[in-house]
Amino acid sequence: MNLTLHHFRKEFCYLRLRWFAFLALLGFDLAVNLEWLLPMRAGVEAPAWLGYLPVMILLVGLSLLLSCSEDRPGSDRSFISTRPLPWAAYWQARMLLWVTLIVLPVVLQNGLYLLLSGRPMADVLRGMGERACFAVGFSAWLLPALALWRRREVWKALFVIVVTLAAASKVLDVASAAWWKFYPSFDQTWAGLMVGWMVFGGLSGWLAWRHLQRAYRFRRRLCLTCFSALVGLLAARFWVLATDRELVAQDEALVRALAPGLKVEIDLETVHFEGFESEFGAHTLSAKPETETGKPGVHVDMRLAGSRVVQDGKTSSAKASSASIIRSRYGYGSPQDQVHRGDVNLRDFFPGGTLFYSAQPFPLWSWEGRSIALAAFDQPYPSAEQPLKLATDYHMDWYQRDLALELPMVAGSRAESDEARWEVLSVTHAAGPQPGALTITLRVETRDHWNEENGSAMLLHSPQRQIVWLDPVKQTMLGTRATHTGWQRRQIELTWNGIFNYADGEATGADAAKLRLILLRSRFLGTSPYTWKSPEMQLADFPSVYGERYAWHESRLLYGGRQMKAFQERMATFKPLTADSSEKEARRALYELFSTAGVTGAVYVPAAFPAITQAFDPLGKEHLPLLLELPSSLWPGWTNRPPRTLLDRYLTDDQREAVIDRVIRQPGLADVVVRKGWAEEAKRLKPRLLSGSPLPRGCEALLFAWGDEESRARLLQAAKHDINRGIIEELDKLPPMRPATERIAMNGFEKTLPMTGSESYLSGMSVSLAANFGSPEAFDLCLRWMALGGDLPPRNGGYPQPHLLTADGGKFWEKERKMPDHEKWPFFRRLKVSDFEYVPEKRAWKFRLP
Amino acid sequence: MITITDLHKRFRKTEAVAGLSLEVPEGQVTAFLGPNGAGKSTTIKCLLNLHRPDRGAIEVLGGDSRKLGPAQFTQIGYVSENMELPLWMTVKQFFDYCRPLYPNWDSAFEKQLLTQFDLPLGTKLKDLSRGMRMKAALLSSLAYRPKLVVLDEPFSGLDPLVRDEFIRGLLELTEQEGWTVFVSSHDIEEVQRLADRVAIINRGKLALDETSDSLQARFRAIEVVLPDEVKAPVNLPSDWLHAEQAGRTLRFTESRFANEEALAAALRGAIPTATHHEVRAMSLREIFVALARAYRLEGK
Repeated sequence: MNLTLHHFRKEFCYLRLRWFAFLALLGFDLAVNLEWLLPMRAGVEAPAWLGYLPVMILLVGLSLLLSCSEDRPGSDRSFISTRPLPWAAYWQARMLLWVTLIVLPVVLQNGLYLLLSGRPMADVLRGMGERACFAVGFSAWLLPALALWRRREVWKALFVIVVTLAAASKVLDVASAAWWKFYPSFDQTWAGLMVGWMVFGGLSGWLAWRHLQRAYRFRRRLCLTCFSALVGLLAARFWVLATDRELVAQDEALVRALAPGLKVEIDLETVHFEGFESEFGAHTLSAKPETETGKPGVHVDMRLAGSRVVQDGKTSSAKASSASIIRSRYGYGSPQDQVHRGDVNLRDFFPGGTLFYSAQPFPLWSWEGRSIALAAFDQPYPSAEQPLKLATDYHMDWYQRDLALELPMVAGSRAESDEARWEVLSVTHAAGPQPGALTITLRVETRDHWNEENGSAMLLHSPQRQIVWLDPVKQTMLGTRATHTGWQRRQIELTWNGIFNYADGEATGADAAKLRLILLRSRFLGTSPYTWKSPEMQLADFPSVYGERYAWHESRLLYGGRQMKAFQERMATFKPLTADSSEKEARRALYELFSTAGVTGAVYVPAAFPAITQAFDPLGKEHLPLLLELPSSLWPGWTNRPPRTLLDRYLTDDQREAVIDRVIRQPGLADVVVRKGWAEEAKRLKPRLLSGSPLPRGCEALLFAWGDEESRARLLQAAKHDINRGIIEELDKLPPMRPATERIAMNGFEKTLPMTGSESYLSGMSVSLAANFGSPEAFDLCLRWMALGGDLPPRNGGYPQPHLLTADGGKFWEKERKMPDHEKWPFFRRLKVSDFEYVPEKRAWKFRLP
Repeated sequence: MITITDLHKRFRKTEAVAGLSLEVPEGQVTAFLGPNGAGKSTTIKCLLNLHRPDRGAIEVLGGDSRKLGPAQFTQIGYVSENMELPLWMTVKQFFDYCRPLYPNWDSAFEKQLLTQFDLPLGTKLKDLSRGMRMKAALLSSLAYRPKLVVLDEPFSGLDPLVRDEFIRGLLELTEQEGWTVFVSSHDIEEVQRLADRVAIINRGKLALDETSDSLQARFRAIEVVLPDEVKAPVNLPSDWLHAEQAGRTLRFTESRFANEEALAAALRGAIPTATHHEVRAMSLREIFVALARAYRLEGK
């Protein structure tokens, strides 16, 4: 030990000046982090060189380990090599230097920062632990490097290692992208990084020891070091997969208390099946479950663990892919992703009638319940035509969300929670990209430990206007301090558009002091098990999304304005179909007709329908079975009127049974069956259509035709999950059904989150339906939504359009289309519910005044 | 004290030492000579366990050189021309650092050496001249009275005055202490005053290992006068090195000189027409140069 201290003293003597410089840098960094020096001020950006301070500290710290070349072990020139200093004493002295001169000061500095920032002792200790890992990981590898490399060798070795790592990293990235189950590249964490460095340091240490024993040549040392670096890289990447993705449960006791009372409802009406036809995907059977935890602010997310399929008395199990077994800290299903689930997070915290506005055309937020997998089938697949039963195990992930912070939009206002501290430094009106914008400078202090589990979102609420802005239109980072210390400080400039003025300049009347800035937080509580058992069912009964067509946007642009002519010109170039044409030729003609109608965009132009019908005519006349085989979902437009017309024209009673047989698989034929007057004969399909599986789209025509109690009840059930399908309006025309349809409309409104953005079409549909059914709240919401029409971002789903009647009973929306925008938006803004009277028999709101 | 048996050491394509065998007797100063690149430093590094031999064995202080450790290094003093010293230290700090490493460090002897070498204690090593720095290194390797002193080209780069001082100091100490010294050099002039024995290495192999006295007794410079227009025969005895004729005078080095009579008889046999000859004793330097030239010619 004496020799250890003796050598330590010698090294310290050599390093002291550099060490004092290191301490001075750490002190400066501490003062900057605590804002004793260069404090963050409103409107003042941090000097750019401040960003290099951590790098400088790191380099000076590492240089302390590269000292004393005369002591370099393994060198035949080093003075120490032929002196009687035991290696143990030498390495102990080096370790002592490393710990006392580098690791300890860095850890203590971090602890001091956290203490002076007022963090609780648990956070201080955690921050110090993380900083110790950081310091050890980033510097340990240099200790053996001294023994491994001589002076000039260092640079060669460094170059080769960096190149090797860069190449290996790229290969891993490509492999990750090419093989979707293998993604060690993208979820890199600090803990993983530290593990990688430590593995590299450990292997280098072993290599240095072997080198001192056996005197390896340079090439061998280089190869072995590169290998060590690669192992370190893999460790860093795979650490995330092995352990680090798993979230830490924050309140398992609460989960245990709530789990027995959890209600899960999976309505088969919401089930759909990917089908086995697709070459991609997991062939999943999915549904939208409804869950009720029994505690406000708590929701669950269902994660497939595995399922057992019983068919023909045989049981087979389908294991979930690894991606769904692990609850990720990143990406889909992470707490940050969970916080953006509007359907479970937003409704509880804001009064009814609040409109949620997103400035983004494709907001992060969603409001519709998420689909979950009921089973993911592997080969050998079960038969889709045979009945089967499923028993599916889930991990139920429990999340709690709360409004962690809320503060008025006034300069100087502050709020604090256990993991964040906010202060509004300045509030500026009309300083954004549009008139009426609000810009604030916000000072944010947040808990910033490694592997942080909680998700958060920043909201702006105007109780006065009953609007919540889900995201600012602009967010600029003005300064950051104390990154990766455990308590980060930032200064952010945030801008929201349209707060004080609408896009056209008209004042909104909003008062800045009444605006509230809110931090919404989502915490992962823990996981509980759950098993769902299905009734007996057939996979073939569920609609498959496979084979759906996409719009041919580019071609439609090409043929814009002359779709019908282009269609006719192109069709004229094909060989006409005759009675003598073979089935092969008929199929080819069908394909050409489809592709031409789709490519030219004629399918979207009602005026072109007669021309398309005419082109179809030979097919209907000579090859009717081919048309009967044609699934309606394959038709590349939004109506299958042309082929339907031909079916109406050429189908005879001889084909009745064949057509009825096809209805379940091709529900588009249901309409034909009704029009042909074969509804009575089609009653043999009734048991299937009344069963629990989803009502095939189009078959509602048959149920309406039958019109009995059972059929209506089935239609109500279908309408509950599919309010945009038009069933509810049809049912509402039957007076006895009105109370039930009204109930469905109001329930839909209650569950809807009125949110603008790309999903606003469905959201707005629910709101306008409730308004049509007489809800003044829904109608008021529609009016306020319409008033924002000019402020909605491009490619938005638009605003809801409830049934409105002019004072003289005319259709309002027909007149509205003729109104220019500069008149329309101010007109909407002045409308109030009291300006209308509800006309129940027309399910519409009528203007009281002209 | 040192026994080297069939030592081999290769660096990539270069065979630095190729089957060297050598014995360094205790209590003597052995000069280890050879031209640059002959393998002197490699041999020394192998015997001090700084390089690992590819083949062969080295025994140092009665033990395997590969097992040399702190215990053995307390008895070995090593100074090399290219040794990296802690140049940032003052002379005093340097000795203060070295002192606790050696249990048998003799402080009185250290003081004596300090006086003898005239080293300034307060000066940093980096500010010392090369000669003074070598003296400091030597002092740090002698103050604990090592049994074996190994010096690898200690004089290279020193000016003649400093070299002389250095050698004188070393000579005095060696005589006083009776150390075993193994000193390498590419120039015999540097060590001829020190050496009891001379070992010459050439192309990694031992070319000669002899005491200085025997070497000086064995070598003579010969000048033979020939009649006019008589050429010396082509096939002269192989012991006669570097035979060169200039006019009537033939000069060569006799490497197996026994006595005048034997030489005269040999001359008569080889050059019957020789009219006159002169014999002169050679310095170690001249012998070394003659041998070095001979080795070079052998190599070609």
